[in-house]
Amino acid sequence: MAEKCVKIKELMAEALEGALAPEAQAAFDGHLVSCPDCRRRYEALGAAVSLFEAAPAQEPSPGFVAEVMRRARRARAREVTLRRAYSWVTASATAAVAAGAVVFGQRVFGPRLVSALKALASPGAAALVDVWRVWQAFALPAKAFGKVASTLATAGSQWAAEGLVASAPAYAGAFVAIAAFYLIWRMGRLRAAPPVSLV
Amino acid sequence: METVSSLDSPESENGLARRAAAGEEAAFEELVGRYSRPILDYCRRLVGDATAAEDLAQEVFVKFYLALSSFDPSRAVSPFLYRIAHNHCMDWLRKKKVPTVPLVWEDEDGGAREVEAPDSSLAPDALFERAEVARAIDEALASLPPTYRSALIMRHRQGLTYEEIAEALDTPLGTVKARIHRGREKLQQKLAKYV
Repeated sequence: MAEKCVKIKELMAEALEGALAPEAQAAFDGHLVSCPDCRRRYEALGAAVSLFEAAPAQEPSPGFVAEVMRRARRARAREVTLRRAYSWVTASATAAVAAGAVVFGQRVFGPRLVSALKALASPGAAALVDVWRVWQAFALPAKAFGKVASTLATAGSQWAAEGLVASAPAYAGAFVAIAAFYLIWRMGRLRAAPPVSLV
Repeated sequence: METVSSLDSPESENGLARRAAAGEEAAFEELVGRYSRPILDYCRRLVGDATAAEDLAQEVFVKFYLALSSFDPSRAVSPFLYRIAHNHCMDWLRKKKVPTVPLVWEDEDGGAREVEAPDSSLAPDALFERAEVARAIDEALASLPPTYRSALIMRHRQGLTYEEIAEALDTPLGTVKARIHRGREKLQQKLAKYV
């Protein structure tokens, strides 16, 4: 194939789309007039594309749209159910973790915390012991709340699950309180420990 | 050629998509009505299986329905819809074994259903040639990688612009042009004796 023909072949796609600049289009048309091979090739390309475009399309079945609507409604309903189930599982898990953390914190850290604070024998420590007593006063209701939450979640009641999600800040507060108490206890132990001799 | 995007202004389609996303079923139904033929044709040409195509096209619309909440109304509907169609058909092509097209099958009631007969008003020779051309087109498409096939169908069967195709396939514009060019050449080779 001559060099000119190679260049013309490269332009055929754009020429077919009518996307050539006027000067390029004129040069392209001029070459086709003088070159029967390129003309044949270009016409064959155009004819093949025309055949492809004109090939009959498959007709949708008469119930196509109705079937799509039926499937879409079913899929939407399934999606809503899944979303509810997801929020329910999340709420249940949050309630269980929060209740567990409250009980664990009370049993494990509570007595040590009080002992450590008493050992400090300072007004601040005494105030924290008072805070702990208040905390204990709420600990029993918190445990009961955990049990109720667990029962409601098990029952699968949607309103209960949503209520638990709404109570998430309260759980977060419980976590923060436990963490703060633990840190105070650790600081107390560090202060009470004798200095380490390196000699 | 199916040219939905050229028949309906993007604004009206976007309005329908917005209303459909807001839960208006009639708007979604209208969109399905407008796009059912081109999307079915796209699926049919891409997977090369008439039986599977109808099911695939319906699934495409269901996915479209569920994805409407993430649709940006400032953009055209067709690239968004064709992207879903492309991805869904590509998934099918990856999973499929050997496609078979039954000529007669039983419907849910146990009665026999037949494939729609071709237009009998055509002369036998013309019918034969039309079937031959259709087969040659299918062969040409089948000989192309699916991504090339997809771009070629979108351009020459669905009338999408290069930019819309690039958006639908998430592919650079130059790559799209090259794929369409390559696809046309393959078509030309396969259809040489009919043109």
